[in-house]
Amino acid sequence: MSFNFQIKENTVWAAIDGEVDMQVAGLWRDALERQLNATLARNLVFDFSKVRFIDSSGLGVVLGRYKRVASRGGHVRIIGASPQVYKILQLSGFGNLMEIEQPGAAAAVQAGGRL
Amino acid sequence: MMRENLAEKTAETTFPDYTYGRLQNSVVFDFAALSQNVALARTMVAALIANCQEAGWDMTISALEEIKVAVSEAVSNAIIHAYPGSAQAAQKGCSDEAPQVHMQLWQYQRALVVRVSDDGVGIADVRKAMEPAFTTGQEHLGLGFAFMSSFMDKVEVQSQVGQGTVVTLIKQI
Repeated sequence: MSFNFQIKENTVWAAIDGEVDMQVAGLWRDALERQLNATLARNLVFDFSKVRFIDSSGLGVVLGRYKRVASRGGHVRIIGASPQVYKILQLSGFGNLMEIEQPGAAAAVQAGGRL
Repeated sequence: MMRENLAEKTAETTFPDYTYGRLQNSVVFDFAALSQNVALARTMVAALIANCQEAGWDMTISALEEIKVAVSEAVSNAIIHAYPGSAQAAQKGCSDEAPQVHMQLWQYQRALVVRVSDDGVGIADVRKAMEPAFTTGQEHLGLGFAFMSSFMDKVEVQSQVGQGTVVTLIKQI
């Protein structure tokens, strides 16, 4: 599991690599908060291209950061989700709150090869 | 989809249950209520499913991933809610007296049954706890049971305050 942050113009890019469950959620939340506290950038992009698993503990972190960013007039976007992660994001109703990139053909092939 | 009839899915069933054909394998797995064991629990289930695939099950990758989410939710609930304070206690180190989560797996010809149980505080109002978006915490979504019932064919919850909770997840093959 690893986190990676970049700030480009008005946007924090947050990538996470691994399985996002309750073991990781607290650390990830703290790391995100540190980044958001340290910058004036208003928007947040979650790069999920290396997220192999997410459950409601991980989604809770996303929702918490959405609330913070949205309350300051920023936008949240999720990119690179696998078909499986995309499905759980939609099932949680996140599609109504933030822009979620649809899984591309490349992601579908990747997911198809996982077993 | 999230608001499917939970009551219908929570009728009590006891196991072994031969509705699903012959019992082909069973596993009992007890572990300390620590967050690092959530991944261990879902990996155990995925490994059992991999065995079943070799024995002829034809489960899609998407179904496998969904079962992993459901198991993760059930085990996370047991750790977070059944044993409040266990996370803090765990920082001081694990001991043989640490609270335990119990997992049982039954592989039937036509179903996989996963039971996650604890000896924790119990749930006073199971029906309310299972309502989508019901939550006891700020950063908790309240979607754990909703994911379990969306991703499994049947979810049963039995709980007694002060005694513990038993969550049974059934996926028909």
